Amino acid sequence: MMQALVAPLAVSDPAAKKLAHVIQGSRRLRASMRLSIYKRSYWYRLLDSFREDFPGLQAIVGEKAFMRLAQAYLAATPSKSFTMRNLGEGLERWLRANPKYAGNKHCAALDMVRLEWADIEAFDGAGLPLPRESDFLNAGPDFSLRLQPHVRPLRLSYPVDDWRIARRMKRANPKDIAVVVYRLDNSVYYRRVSMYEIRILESLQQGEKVASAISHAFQDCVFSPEKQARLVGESFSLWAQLGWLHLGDERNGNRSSDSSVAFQQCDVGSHAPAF
Amino acid sequence: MPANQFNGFTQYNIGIGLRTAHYTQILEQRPPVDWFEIISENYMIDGGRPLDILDQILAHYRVIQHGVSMYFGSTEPLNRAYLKRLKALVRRTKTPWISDHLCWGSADGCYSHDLLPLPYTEEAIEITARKIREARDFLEVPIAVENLSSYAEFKHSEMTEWEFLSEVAERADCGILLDINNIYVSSRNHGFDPLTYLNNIPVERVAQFHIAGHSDYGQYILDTHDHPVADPVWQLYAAAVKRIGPTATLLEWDDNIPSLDEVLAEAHKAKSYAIA
Repeated sequence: MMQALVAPLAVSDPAAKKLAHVIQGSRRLRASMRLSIYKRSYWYRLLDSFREDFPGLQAIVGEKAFMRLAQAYLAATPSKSFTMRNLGEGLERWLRANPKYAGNKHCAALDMVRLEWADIEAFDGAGLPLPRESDFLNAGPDFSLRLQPHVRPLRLSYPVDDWRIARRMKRANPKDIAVVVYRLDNSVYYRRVSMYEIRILESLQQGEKVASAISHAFQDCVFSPEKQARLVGESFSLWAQLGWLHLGDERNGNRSSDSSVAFQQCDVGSHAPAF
Repeated sequence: MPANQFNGFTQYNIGIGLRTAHYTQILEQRPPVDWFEIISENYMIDGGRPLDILDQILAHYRVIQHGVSMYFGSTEPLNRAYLKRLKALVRRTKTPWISDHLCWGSADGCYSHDLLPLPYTEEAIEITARKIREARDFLEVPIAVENLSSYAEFKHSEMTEWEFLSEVAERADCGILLDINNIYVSSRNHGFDPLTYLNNIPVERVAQFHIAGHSDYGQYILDTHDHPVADPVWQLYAAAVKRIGPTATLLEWDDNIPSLDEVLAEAHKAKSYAIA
């Protein structure tokens, strides 16, 4: 029955024909019609959820191409999770292997998929206890910080953050863009960051010590040490205010996430809310 | 049967489903609602707004968990990662019982995200009852299984749906979440008498009722949860209360959701049918 359900709607598959023989039909409702109620329901449910998760991708490729892409992806990648929240988990990998479904917008579509998956992860990712001000004041050379699980740094080639908010694609030439997708006060936001910031954030995400992450970020930089120090200070201060950091699992201990807010709430007016 | 071991010996009255569209009004106005039912899977997450809202709701209301992904009837083993998350949520909500459906929905590690009907066979009873027992032992909370609304039955079924439901509940020693609308929907789709169904349910195992609206497409009825409760379902509900007694009742409204006031007004109609 599962095989019959997951076959695309338009396809007449042998599994459905075989299954129709074991389903009790009636004069009012034949067995094949009974099966098709389940099949249609399966596809409407998944496509609705998929459309809700990837509105930006639909804006880039267009409605018809989006439906072709969604059906092909969902047929090739049946859900392996108890929740439909994870339907798009394998979409980036699948789209890389199947570029024809996005046509000449493949690169922009891939960027959008990464942004939209990060949006899902940011919405309900874990929020671990925040560092205290004293953690920073007592920081030594081995000081270690991690990115909160809901914080997703992304390197992009197209301004898909703007497109998703506008729900339409605009003409743009590819260029290096760094965006962080994160959650603040239960809302998901996108924030553009500089290339040196994204390098530090990526390094912290990968578990590097703070000193090493900073050194790595400014490796080929022409900024003076004073300017580097000022930029780093400003960045970490902002990231702490935005709640992007935590001390790492081993040091979070028994801290509760609501009793260790380190800094005053920041002004979120300059951030782009991700609807 | 107002209170029994399958609903934690509680006496809940009329509840409604907790839905995103009503979050703000509930938290700002705190309307009198006896209890809320949550879809467990919506809160089996690591963080963010849904859990934050749930905690605020729990501070003021009683919450019962209802699941859609346990798939007791699937032949593969219970998903341990799922159960661990569910248990964490059970501890958070302190739900006196949980419910899920008498169905299957996954095979070979793939999920249909649907509630698929089982063949009513001895083999299916064995599998389903064993998995319900395993889940209950792990979760340490009473479990009630819900009858489906269905659109297909299998030729090789060996018994009626109500015999199947009763036997599974007996062998698993679990409760029954009797969905009155589902009985009606399936009775129309398969041509049986809904009162016969109702009259053959073991009264002592009923932990909870569900009521809901459906959509009539002529040839068949779909369990859409997007309308008020239909009159024949109310009549069947009245018969259920008469036979079983006042029981925790939940109005499901999941699509085209109206205002909270409308949902509550529809739910509270149950009081008059329960008295009638």
